[in-house]
Amino acid sequence: MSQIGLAAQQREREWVEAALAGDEQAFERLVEAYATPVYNLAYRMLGDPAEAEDAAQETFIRVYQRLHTYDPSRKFSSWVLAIASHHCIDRLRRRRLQKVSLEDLPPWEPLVSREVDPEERAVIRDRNARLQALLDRLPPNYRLPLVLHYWYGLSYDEICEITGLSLSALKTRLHRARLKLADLMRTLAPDLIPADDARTSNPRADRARVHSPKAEGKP
Amino acid sequence: MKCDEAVERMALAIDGGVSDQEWDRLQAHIQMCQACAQTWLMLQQVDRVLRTAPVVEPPPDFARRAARAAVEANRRCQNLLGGVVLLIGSTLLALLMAATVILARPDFVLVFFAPGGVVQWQRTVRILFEGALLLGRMVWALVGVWQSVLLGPFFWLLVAMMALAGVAWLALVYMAVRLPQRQVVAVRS
Repeated sequence: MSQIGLAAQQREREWVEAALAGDEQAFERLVEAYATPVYNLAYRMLGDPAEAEDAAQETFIRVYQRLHTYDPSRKFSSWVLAIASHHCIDRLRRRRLQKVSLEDLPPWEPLVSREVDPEERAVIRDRNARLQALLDRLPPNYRLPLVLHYWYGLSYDEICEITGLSLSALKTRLHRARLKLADLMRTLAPDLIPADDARTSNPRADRARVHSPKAEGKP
Repeated sequence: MKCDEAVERMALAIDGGVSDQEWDRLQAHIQMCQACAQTWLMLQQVDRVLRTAPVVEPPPDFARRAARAAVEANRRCQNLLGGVVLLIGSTLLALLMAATVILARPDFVLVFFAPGGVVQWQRTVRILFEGALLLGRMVWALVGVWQSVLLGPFFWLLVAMMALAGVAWLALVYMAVRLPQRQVVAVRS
């Protein structure tokens, strides 16, 4: 792990200790660091910004109430993402029980980074919304490993720890999820398919890039 | 390499999980098998789309609101817990005090049912409950102030001090109830 990563983990540990001792500002810093990763996970799992906000908020309530059960030998990010994942799966289960179809949900208004210019933002937003519509068609138990793998750059072991899946089950689900998503993309959103995609070299060489975290905590 | 094995390898190869030797074998198979070439292409396409998908950000003031909501929810939960502890603790303390009174005045039943006895004892019981509640509140306030101490090494010292205070309190109740009886005895003799 890099020096920056270690320093960030050390700082997180200090914030956790301070929050446990009753320092509310330290907890606020933890929330600031994890607001985007947790919100993005909730949005990718639930597909609706308003529900994602609710779920992310509920996740932080649970994090604060269970902070004393956090084991410092584990990565704090994995612990937080596990709480968020379980909460999202619970919500999806309840949604299924209530028989609310995805079509009944309000249309998306996803917030993409405010640093890009408005025109580009509109294009990203449109593509993102259509990708999310495809993700929503995957069963939740296929969607979660895919989201944790691609948006958080987590290793197979870390995803297993968060989801409670065995390594072989995770590999199977990831593979099936990719194939199903590819199939959906071809039939429902062929314009999302990139034009240049012939890979002739082993991606092993640039594995680090594949695993570079996009939404990892950035304290 | 057969198609089943090739698909199995593809699942790993897409994340860079195969050796160069395995990669070459897979590529050789893909060049010969159209179905596997198609699967490999689909996997690569979806991999690229997902790798370039953006991270969705929450509304600007979300972090502050979420942190505040978490702290508030925790406080509400603690207050509720405090209320329940206070109620149960006070009732137990009042029962203990009542037991002390009965112990101090074995003629409790006779006095209670004597003319005017009920009113007098109602007052005593009310005082006992109010006393217990007051003591409970004091303990809870102390716990609130020393919340961080609860997890520290001073916790058991605090518990011991509380227990001592409780015993002293009960002894006082015992003596206070016992005293009028002695006076009555003294007047009678």
